[in-house]
Amino acid sequence: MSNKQQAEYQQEETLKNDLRRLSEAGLEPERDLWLDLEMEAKRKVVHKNQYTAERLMAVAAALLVGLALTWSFTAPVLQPIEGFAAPRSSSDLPSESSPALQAVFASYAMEREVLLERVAEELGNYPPEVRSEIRQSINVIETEMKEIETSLARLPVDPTTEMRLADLYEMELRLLSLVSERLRGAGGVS
Amino acid sequence: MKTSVLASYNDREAEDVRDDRLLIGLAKRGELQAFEQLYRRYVRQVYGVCRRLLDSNEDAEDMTQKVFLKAWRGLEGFRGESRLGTWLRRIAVNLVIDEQRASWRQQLESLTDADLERLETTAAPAGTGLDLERAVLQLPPGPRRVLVLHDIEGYTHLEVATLLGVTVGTSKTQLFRARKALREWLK
Repeated sequence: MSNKQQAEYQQEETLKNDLRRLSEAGLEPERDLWLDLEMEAKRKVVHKNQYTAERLMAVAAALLVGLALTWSFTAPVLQPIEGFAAPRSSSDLPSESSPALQAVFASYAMEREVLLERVAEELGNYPPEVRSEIRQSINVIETEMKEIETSLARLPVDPTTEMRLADLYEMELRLLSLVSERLRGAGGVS
Repeated sequence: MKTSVLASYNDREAEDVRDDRLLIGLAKRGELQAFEQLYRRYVRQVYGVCRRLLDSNEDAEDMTQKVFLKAWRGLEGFRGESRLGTWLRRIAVNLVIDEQRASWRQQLESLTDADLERLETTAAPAGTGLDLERAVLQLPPGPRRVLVLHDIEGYTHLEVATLLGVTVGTSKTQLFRARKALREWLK
């Protein structure tokens, strides 16, 4: 390689290295673009919160309808239950929760109590293994709920986490409802 | 000495990555202030790539805003597999190209060999003592975009060709000419 070629090669390598560095160094825009950007970005936050609140209210409404139906069928046979699943009270919910989540929780706690009564009554006819299996399924859901409730107590109100919690409430009620239907359909094992 | 400078650089870099993660986590939860900090950290990189690919400051500013809005809306999809700056610059390149592909392709394909040869022999643009950044911006649009994508943003020739809708040969030729012109201008 001649000296001239070597010099050109060196020049080319230096140029390539310098060009690579431009990427992270960047360029400064002539004006602050944040103000316009902030206005547009805020629309997303508002939209997201509205959507979450709407969903929470829809879940609350669905739970209330479920509660009314369950109550009308089972109220006459309600009995206290022991040791099946711990009762839930509003103190389980972080005090700073949104009103929408509090409404969901109130409906959930009532319907859960009714369904648990029903399941416990039916389970009396089943062997301990079945009872234990169902208790474990409920525990899985409730453990996750507790974790979310604990993290919500530490953090400011977070719509996404609240929504996740509301979904878990709904999931537990669906499970209890399904178990109750199956047990009734099977008629018990002696 | 060299080692300690490198170590402190790496420490700073690691700290930046940790800060980024924290800010990204907060921004994902809808914290706009955290996103503003990310914007302040990366606006130079995003504007830089937009400005080098586009022909005016105004277009680059508009595009920069679009990039950050897209990032804000899609932040939940950012898994941290690449650095945030890299992810943002990729969004910028894709957005710019989505908007400009058709017209750029025409510009690149219509450049003749004579045009390219003229580029090499053109004297440095007004204002000698150009720094590299200004010299890049003085390149004609076609070769400039190939150079930005390949040499600055690290795309391969195949990727550049696919993005710009030209052949790999065209990408290589344009890059060769653009580098040659820069070397001449910066002598």
